[in-house]
This record gives sequence, C-alpha cells and structure tokens, in this order.
Amino acid sequence: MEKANYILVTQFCHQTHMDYTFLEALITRELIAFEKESNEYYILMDEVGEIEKMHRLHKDLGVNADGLGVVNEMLDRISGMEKEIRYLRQKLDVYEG
Amino acid sequence: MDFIDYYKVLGVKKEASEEEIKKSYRKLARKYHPDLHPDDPVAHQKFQEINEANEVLSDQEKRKKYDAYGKDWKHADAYDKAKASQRGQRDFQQGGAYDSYGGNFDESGFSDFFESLFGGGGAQGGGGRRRTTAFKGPDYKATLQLSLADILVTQKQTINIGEKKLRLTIPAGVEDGQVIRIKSHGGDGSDGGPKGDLYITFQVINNTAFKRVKDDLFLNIKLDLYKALLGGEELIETLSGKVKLKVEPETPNGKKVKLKGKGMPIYKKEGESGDLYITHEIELPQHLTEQEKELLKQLAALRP
Repeated sequence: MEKANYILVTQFCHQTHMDYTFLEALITRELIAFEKESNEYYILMDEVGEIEKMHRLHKDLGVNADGLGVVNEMLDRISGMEKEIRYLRQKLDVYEG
Repeated sequence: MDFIDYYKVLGVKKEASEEEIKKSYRKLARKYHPDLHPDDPVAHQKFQEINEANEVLSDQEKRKKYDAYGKDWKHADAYDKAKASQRGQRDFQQGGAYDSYGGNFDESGFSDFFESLFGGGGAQGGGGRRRTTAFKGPDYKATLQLSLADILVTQKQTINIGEKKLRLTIPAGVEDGQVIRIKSHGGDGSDGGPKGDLYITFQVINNTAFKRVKDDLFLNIKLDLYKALLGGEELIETLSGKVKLKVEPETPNGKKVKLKGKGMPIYKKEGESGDLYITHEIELPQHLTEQEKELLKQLAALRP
C-alpha cells in the first residue's frame, strides 16, 4: 500500500465531519476500495469524490448504504447504456446519414 | 430580480406542514438530484431551486420572514432591524438540507432573491447554513473543441484555467464526449483539504465526409458505371494522405472495401489505428445520347 495515495478513515472523518459509521457501512459493503493496516481502515484518495457523492445522496435523499449500492449499480448500468446508445447512433448514422 | 414562490417550487400549499414540505422536498430531490443526472444542467438548476425553497420553508424563522415579506422582500432589511431591536442579534443555526458540496455545486447556488432576503451565501453568510462536508475543493468542468484532424496525432495544447495556464497533452484518437480528469486543478479545498479536480470533455467536431464509429472510419465514394464494370483505379483521399485503390472488375453497388490501418488512431495505443471502410456507390450515366442508347440496347440483347 502506497501511503501517499491513501487516507486514514478516522482522519478523513475528522476533516470532513462525516460520520465514521457511514464510512464503515460503505467499507463493510465493499462499496469503496479500502486497505486495513494495524486495525485501521485506509481509503484511496481517488475515491474521495465518490464517497462525497454517496454522502450527498445519503444526506439529501435519505438513501441508506444498501440503497447506495443499488444506486451505484444502476448508475453504472445507465452510463454503460449511454455509451452503447452513442455507439449505435454513430453506427446508424453510417447507414442512414 | 424576481420574487420566487418557494411554495410553488416545492408544489405545496401555503399552509403546508413541516412534514408535507419535507416529503415534497425529498420527492423532488430524488427526481432532480445532480448526482443522479451528472450531465443534465437543467436538473442541476432545478435541484438548486428546490434546495433553496427547502432551505427557507423548512426553517421556521426563515419561513416566517418569507411569509411576512415574501412579495415585499425589498423591505426585509427593515424587518431585520425591527427584530434585532426586539430581541438582540440572534443567529439561527438551521441545518437545512443544503451542504457545502465538495463536488458539483458552488456555494453561490442561491438566487439573488434569497441573498436579498436572508443575506450572503456560504456558511459564513447571514443564512447560517451549517457546513457539514467541506473537504475537497469543487471540481471544475471545461469543454475543449477539436476537429477530427486535430486528433490524428498526440498534441499539446495550452488552455487557460482562470488566471493559470495549463499545458495539456491530448492523446491521438480521443472520442467525442470523452472526459478526462486532471487531478488537483479544480477549486481550493476547505479546512486544508485537497483541491478539486478539473474535468475536460472533448467535443470532436467532424466536418469531413468520413463517418466515425469508435476507431473506424466509413466513407462512401461514387464510382462510374464503366469503372465498376471493367475495373480500374480510384484515388482516395484519406485523413492521412492519398491512397490508390484498385477497383475490381464487376464491382457491385454497395461493395465495401476495408483499408486496414487507415482509420482513426487508437486512443493511447501509439502506432495503432482503426480501419477505413470504403463503400462504392455506383453512378449511372445520365442524359444518354442516341448512340449510347443504341449500344446499350445491343449489350442488353447479348444478355436476354
């Protein structure tokens, strides 16, 4: 584990005032990548944006951790389908354009 | 600056209970939350309006002030002064549902109407919104327009991000709509947090005759009837130069020929390219002379 890329969960919670139990819920459901060292959880700095997004959905819409897993899954699928639609539109344009 | 009917924004009656307001806010927030509609500026705008309405109507003090001065919001200052003299200055620390977003929203997301009625924005403002998540700085988004010819080779471009200049390497073969993230080139973080990121969306303008599907290019070329029947050569202008294409005798209309490696460069695969597909469109001769007609009749007679 390259420490420069990771942040200690307790430190992250301290800095963001995010509830530790919220982060713990994401970790136990493997919704975010993490490392465990000396009984402490570390999260990837690159995942901070994703965590903030999930926190906003949790706070604004009352989505719980299990729900966030579903939302993420659905958003990934939507994004995949949007890509496919773009590809199919291009393809269609070749034949109809 | 126009008056904003917050009740209308949330779709509730003026006498709506706190519970009804909360319920309506949740319902609309689910519908327009920007994290569920990342590329929809209309949803983003709508969500800010809903948030603002909720910020006011879910806070008893603000709602009272809004109800009392709503349409006469320009007199709100007088209201404040009268209040202050009655019970001294008081901060209302109401959380509301609005966070300081590290990600997609700026702090100044409140309307001028709101600012006039309740004071400046931000956690330090008169509204006193509580800052609960203030870590990473806001992400910036930018769009960079490129032509198809621009992305045939990897190139460097300098773009202006506010006052700073950023030298950017644009890899050959980027896709239209492709987004790249440039770490730590967004807004400053709060409480010593890291800077946000810069997201650049490439908009690839294709004003050529080529159609692009991922790394492959498609081109229709017109072929005269006699060359299609007897064979010959065609000079094709590809994006990387001219190519002599052999036309087989008896080429049928719509025949597709693949020119390997003459498509777009493959993103981040130096030296590799997609293919170019040429489709032949056979053109029939027009305005036939009497002699041509006669010869064609003779030909037709050979193939009854």
